[in-house]
Amino acid sequence: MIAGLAFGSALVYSPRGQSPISARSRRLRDALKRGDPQVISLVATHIAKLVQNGGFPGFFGGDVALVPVPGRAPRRGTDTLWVPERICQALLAAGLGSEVWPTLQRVSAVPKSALAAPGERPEVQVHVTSLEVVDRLPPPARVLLVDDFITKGRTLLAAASVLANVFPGVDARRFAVVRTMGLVPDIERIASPVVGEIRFERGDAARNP
Amino acid sequence: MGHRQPNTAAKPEPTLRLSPAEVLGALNDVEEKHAPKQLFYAGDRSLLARGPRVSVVGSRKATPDGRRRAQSLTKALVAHQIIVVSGLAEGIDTAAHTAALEAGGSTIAVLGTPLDQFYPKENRDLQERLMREQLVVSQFASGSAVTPKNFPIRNRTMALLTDATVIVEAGEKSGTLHQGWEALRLGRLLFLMENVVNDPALSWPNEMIHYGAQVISRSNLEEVLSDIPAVTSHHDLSEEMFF
Repeated sequence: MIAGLAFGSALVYSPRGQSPISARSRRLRDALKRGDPQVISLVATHIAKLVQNGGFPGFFGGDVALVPVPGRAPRRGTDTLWVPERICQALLAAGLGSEVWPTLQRVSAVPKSALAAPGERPEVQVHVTSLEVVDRLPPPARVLLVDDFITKGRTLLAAASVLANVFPGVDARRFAVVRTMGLVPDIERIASPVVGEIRFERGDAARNP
Repeated sequence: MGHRQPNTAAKPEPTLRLSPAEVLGALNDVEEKHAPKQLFYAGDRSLLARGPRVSVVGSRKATPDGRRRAQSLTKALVAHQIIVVSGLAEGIDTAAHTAALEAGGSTIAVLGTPLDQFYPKENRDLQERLMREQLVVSQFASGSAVTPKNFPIRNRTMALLTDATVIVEAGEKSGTLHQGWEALRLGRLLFLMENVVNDPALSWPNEMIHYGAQVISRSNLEEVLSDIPAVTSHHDLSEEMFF
C-alpha cells in the first residue's frame, strides 16, 4: 500500500451544514451525483480556469490521460451512469487531458461506508481487492486519476495503489472534484482549490485537508 | 389484454403536462434512453419540484407481511418528510399510497395506464383522491390503449423520477425488477428489504447487490433515510455557486 500521496481538489460540500452556502453545496452534490450534464460542464470549465491561472501545476495537460475512478459497484453495461467518466470527458473537452482512459474497473461491490456498521466499513484493502486494471497495454507516460467525491480518501488511495502495482513506472497523479466537509459545521465557500495529502495510517486512509 | 381491463372514466382528457427535463433539469444520455417525452399529470405538481422522493414498490400479489413492511417503511419515509412514490397497482403499491395518506405524508402515483383509466378498478377511489389531494402522473395519453408493455415502461419512468427505489418483495419474474435494474443503470440508489435478500428461493437480490443494490433493514433504516440525496430535484445551478 502507498504510504501517502498528494491529491488535487477544487470544491467542497457540507453534508449537514445549515447555512445557505452549505445548502447550495448539497445541491451541487446532488446534481453531480445525478450526472447533470450542465453542472458537470460548469465544473470542468471552473477547473480549467483554475488551471489557466496556475492552479494544480503538473496535474493536467495535453499529454495527460484521464483515468476515471470506478463507482462502488461493477457496471452492468456500458449504458450505466459513471459520473467520474463523465467528468473526465468534460475535462477533456475543456482541454485538460489527452484522452479518457477507463482502465480501472470495479469487479465486486463495496458496501457504502455510511451504511456499514462501525468496524465493518470497507477498508482500503477491500477497495484494493475490488478494483482491477482492464487495459494492460503500454500505458500513457502521464495519467491523472479522477474521482467525483473524496471523503477519507480510501477509494483514491486504493485506486492509486492498484494502478501503481500494474504500471509502476507511470507518473500518476490524483484528483477529486469535491471534498466532503463532514467535520466542520458549515463551509464559507464552495470553491476551495487545494493540493492535499492522503495518508495510509493504522490500516485506514486519512485526508488532509 | 385479457385480465388487465382498465376501467375508463367519463372525464375530459387532462391536458396538464410537463417534460422530464422540467422535473430533473437537463437529462444525461443514460436518462434520455428510456425517458418519456412528456408526463401528463393531475394534482399538485409541486410534489415533483421537491424531494427527496423514494419509490416503494413490489408484488401485486403481496403477502400480509409484505404489506406490513411496506406500511411501516412508508411511515418512516413520511416521518423523514420524504415523498412516497409508487405505481398504484394492487398489493405493495396500494399499501404504500394508503399508508402515506394515513400518515399525513405526500405521495405520487406513476401509472401504467393513462390518467383517464383505472387499473385495478378497485383503486378508482384511491386514484381520484390522489388526483385531488396529491399527484398522479402518466406518460400515456388519455384514450391510448393499455398493453402489458406499459407497466415495465412505467417502472423505468418511476426510477427516473425518484432518488431511490425500495423493493419490498418481488418474485423472480416480477415486473418490479425492471425498476430495480433501471435504478442501478441510472445510478440511483436501490434498496432491497432484508426479507427478500434472505429468501433462498430468489436469485435476483444477490445479482442486484453485485451491481450496487444495498440492503435495508430495521437496524440501518434511520441511517438510510437520513442520507437520501435529492438528486432528482431541479437544482438550477450556475457558475456563481462557486463564489
